[in-house]
Amino acid sequence: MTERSEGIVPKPTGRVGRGAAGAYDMVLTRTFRASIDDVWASVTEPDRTVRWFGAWRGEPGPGRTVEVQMGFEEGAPWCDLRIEVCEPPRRLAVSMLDEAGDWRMEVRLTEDGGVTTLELVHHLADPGMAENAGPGWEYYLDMLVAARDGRPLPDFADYFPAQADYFAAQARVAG
Amino acid sequence: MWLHVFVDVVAHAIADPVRREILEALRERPLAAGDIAARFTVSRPAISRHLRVLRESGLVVDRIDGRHRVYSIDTGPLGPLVAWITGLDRAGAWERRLDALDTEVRRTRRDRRAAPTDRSGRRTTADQEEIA
Repeated sequence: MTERSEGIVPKPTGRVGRGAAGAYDMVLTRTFRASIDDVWASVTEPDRTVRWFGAWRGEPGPGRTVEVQMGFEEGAPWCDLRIEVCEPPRRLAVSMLDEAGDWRMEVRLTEDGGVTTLELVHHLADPGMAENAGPGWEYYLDMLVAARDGRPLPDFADYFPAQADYFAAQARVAG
Repeated sequence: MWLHVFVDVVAHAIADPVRREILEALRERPLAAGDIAARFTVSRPAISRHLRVLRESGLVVDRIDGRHRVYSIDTGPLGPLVAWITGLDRAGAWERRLDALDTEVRRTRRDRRAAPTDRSGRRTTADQEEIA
């Protein structure tokens, strides 16, 4: 029996607020009972990212562009991913090009007492974009959690459109 | 499938003649909201709603420039829709048609440059045959 049939619906956690330079930041948080290095590996090493987002290839480094595959999307398209900042194991800032437009994302990690907190930040030009982007990132972060725990992967149909209203409300407050 | 959401959003955004015209205007240069509204007979509130749909799709981005809100185009979000259309067209039929059209347009341009005109400046028969 799946979690879904037991009626467990994923709850959105993202927050939309004012970011730097008049733009908006959408921030989603997950915590892990794991070391910061282990969580960093989950979001950066290709044999780990393939389990919850997709593989990547290329020569990594700040200012370089690698290719990342959206392995769980139809057609598993490859997108250009420019690495803006890479400070292991705390901060990774990237620009994702092609398939989804030009998305500026950041992953920030902190560790406290054996618990690592991951913050995923999506810098938004318009807060209204959260309505469609938010449910997707909730889904992919839950994919990350499930992949790490060896549990069945979540279903995007449980996230969208169910969570769109939540993010639309977040956007209205921020805007 | 998350990317399908963006196909829907962008397809909806461009499925309106006023919004398409706004995008075409912004293709030339960034415009203030007032400049955009001045191009249309529809009301300013209606233009504001269209601009909101375009902003939320990501096809239009705005920034504050002094006292004005200036809008510009970002074609990046077309990606998922373009990928979907290309994926649907596995045989590459549209690509071939577009290539054929391109060849035809080039040939017609070349012929027109070569075609003589009569005294009134109108194209003569060779050109009219092409139109027919």
